[in-house]
Amino acid sequence: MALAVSTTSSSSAAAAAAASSSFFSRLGSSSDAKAPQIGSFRFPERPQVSSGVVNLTQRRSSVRPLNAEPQRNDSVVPLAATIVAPEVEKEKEDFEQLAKDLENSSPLEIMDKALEKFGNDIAIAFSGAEDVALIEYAHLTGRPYRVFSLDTGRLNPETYKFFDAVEKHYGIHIEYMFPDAVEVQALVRTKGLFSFYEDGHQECCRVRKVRPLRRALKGLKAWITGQRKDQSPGTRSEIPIVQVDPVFEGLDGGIGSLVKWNPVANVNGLDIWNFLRTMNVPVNSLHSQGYVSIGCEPCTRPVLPGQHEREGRWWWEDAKAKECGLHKGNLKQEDAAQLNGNGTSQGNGSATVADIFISQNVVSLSRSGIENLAKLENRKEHWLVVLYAPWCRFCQAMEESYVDLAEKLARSGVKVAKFRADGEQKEYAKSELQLGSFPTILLFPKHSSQPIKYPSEKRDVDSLTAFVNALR
Amino acid sequence: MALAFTSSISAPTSTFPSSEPKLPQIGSIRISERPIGGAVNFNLSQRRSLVKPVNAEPPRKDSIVPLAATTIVASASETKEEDFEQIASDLDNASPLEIMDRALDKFGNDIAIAFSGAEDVALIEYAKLTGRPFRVFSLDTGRLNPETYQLFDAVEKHYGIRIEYMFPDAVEVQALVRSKGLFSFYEDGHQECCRVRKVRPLRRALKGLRAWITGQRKDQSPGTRSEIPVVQVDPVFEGMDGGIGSLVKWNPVANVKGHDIWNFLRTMNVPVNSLHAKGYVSIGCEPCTRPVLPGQHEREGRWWWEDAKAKECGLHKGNVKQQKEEDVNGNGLSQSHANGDATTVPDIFNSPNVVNLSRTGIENLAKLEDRKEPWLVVLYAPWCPYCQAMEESYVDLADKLAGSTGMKVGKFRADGEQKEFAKSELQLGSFPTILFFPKHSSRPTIKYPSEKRDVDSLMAFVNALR
Repeated sequence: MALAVSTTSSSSAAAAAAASSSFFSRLGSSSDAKAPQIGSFRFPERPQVSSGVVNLTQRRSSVRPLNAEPQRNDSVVPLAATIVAPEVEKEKEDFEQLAKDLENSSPLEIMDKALEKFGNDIAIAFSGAEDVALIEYAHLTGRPYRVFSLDTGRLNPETYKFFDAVEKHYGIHIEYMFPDAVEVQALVRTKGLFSFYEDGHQECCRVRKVRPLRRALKGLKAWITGQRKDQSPGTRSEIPIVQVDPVFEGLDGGIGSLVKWNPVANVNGLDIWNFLRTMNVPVNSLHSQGYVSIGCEPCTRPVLPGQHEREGRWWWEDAKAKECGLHKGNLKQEDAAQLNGNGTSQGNGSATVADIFISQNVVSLSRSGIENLAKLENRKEHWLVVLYAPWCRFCQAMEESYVDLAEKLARSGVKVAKFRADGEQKEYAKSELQLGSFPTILLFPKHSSQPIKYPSEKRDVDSLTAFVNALR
Repeated sequence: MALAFTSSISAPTSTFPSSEPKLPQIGSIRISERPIGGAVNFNLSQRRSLVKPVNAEPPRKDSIVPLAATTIVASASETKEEDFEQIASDLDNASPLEIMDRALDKFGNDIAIAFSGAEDVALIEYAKLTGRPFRVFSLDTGRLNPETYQLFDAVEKHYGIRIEYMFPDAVEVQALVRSKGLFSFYEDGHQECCRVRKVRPLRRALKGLRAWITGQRKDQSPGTRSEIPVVQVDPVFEGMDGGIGSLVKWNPVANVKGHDIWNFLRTMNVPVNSLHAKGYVSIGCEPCTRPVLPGQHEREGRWWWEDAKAKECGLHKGNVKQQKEEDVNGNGLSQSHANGDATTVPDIFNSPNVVNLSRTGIENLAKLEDRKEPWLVVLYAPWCPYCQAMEESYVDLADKLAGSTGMKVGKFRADGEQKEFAKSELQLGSFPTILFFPKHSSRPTIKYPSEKRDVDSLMAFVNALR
């Protein structure tokens, strides 16, 4: 995947200037000697050597390029010059003509021309994918070259390792760009870390890619991308080998101040990969894991964080439910009735199904009893209360554990109780006691008005004991 | 792993400007008996707009908002120190829930939990259990494991909160990685990288707070067991009001063992980092969590017969191979390998389409500024089994390139007397070495980098370069 950047027309030159870091502000100061101008630059017939030397020195100290080979003496250093507006058209015409001349050239020839023409004011945009071919071509020209990459802060670990391998393989230093801290913080604090799954990627890409890219390009007069026609058939005719960049601005500012080279525009992916294999170029290990396109980690393998599987299973299988849901309450009640083979109404206290949790250590709470318990600000003891229905199979299943727990906790400062919450009491329990399904287990702490609901389905003695101990 | 930081004494940069209405002052804060209503509202409003907290519940009306007050240095410092030492003693046997409740009660909206993405998620569960509003911040270093980002998101959804992420400064990160690369910590140690990606963002976060809550535990650092109180005046970092003593640090789980933390997380169904299920005990940045150096790339490909000793004839092994060849022939005659005088081993690459280059011929070829055609030349030794193995491919290649392609194919015997010359001038490293001489010598001679010497691979090399 070549570096593909979506752009937003709303961003202004002023915003771009404001976004520039102090790092590139020094670049701005280095061009104080140049008069501001409109349009693109041209090569003067006879460059002023002393001025060029000063320029080079200044730029090097600002951006610290470390190239594999020293600067050639015979490279042409372009100098800024004031020109009249009509000549802008001539300059554009030049690049259109150049694109035609190079249409059938090899990537190596195009790369060589680009580096020769722009010297230290051009850089390769390397995304960490198969566009590493651009670096190999640059290396093969024998000319010095610069490379920059966008570290979005969310790349795959394999991509960071690949950047490192490329630096070592070619003996270069990649000029990494990193997003602005304030902008990233504003985005993720308001919308979270995965807003692109909901809002689309535009806003995140603008913060993490486009704006850092804009800052990088403000330090250049030209850049080189790995864009290919076969990656975007719909705009096939619109990727020339070389063009005045229609979107971004370069070192001298303004539209037309940046030239964009696409040396592999006419090469198809298969041939790129043949080239990489033939030349033993290091490649991102993600490719051998089946990734075709590579970008930020969450967007490269776009899966939402998986829903946590409901924890645990009950000790018998029941595909229908692990709890008696309130919307199924009547159905379950009917089930129980059918099991008993009679149709008697189950009023509170008048139980067709035998009551459960019967133990001298389990306090049976009436409606008013639990209302008072819930109101208390200061209780003498912690209370653990189960909201249950005697016909509920899952409540029945935990009866033994709960009674055992009550015996363990007797005289330990924790009271264990039960409240029958089906029938007439159901609505009250739903609205006031967090009842969501049967059974619901609540802890009423000694000093607090808020009961805490037991969140797990593990209702064995040890798990319930751990819950109580954690909270008292 | 709780959030553990190395600190530096350099002055921090702050992105949270202090409130203008407050006078600069020395010493720590105290809670005034009767807060001024108007000032309180103004204060709250201003802080909210700066740090944008989004809490699960609105702040309680009865929470006490501390106001700045000028006090004399000596009594303020001593009194405050004494107060927190006393509180630490009082709370030493309190449960984490009680300590958390006390911390949130005391500092309200000026305190936040530092959450690293590990088992310190327990702090968030305790905060929720208090029923009080709470803030959480995390350090996104730009190099965390993907699983950690996923946990942050799960935690936000589970508790209905917004984590206040801190991100490193772009200029500082760029300066570090451009000069030292992305993995300098494997060579220099982690201090410099941690300072840029963790400590300085942490410092910025704390400048917006009066207190913070960490998941530090005594059992994580036995050597300093007695030095993690459940609450203390932070000895390293500065808070909102600036200066030493302006920040209070709470360690609610200092006295809890890791084993019990995990029991708590399981019991309460707290979301946890999926890395734990993959065997990670401590979690931090991805390269440091599983600290492995990038693996050496296995040498690509294999030759079509197995030879555990070598895939090429190394120059330091040249004589050994030569002797071996001699043994195979079973005669004791000394083998003179003078150029053009090969009697024992027959020459290879014999074809009308392969130009046999003399020493003079290849010297001239190397010097030429403008060649009529690009050249492909193999540096070989006729006794080298690998050169022999590629003979058929190379001759086939020469046949294919003959005629209309504008490409010349040559050979130069580089053993014996020619070896030193070939080593110093022709990039000879081992036999065979294949070189491409471009048409225009502004480009350097290119050495074929692969061991795949079949016709198609060699053809791809030539096509890529001409």
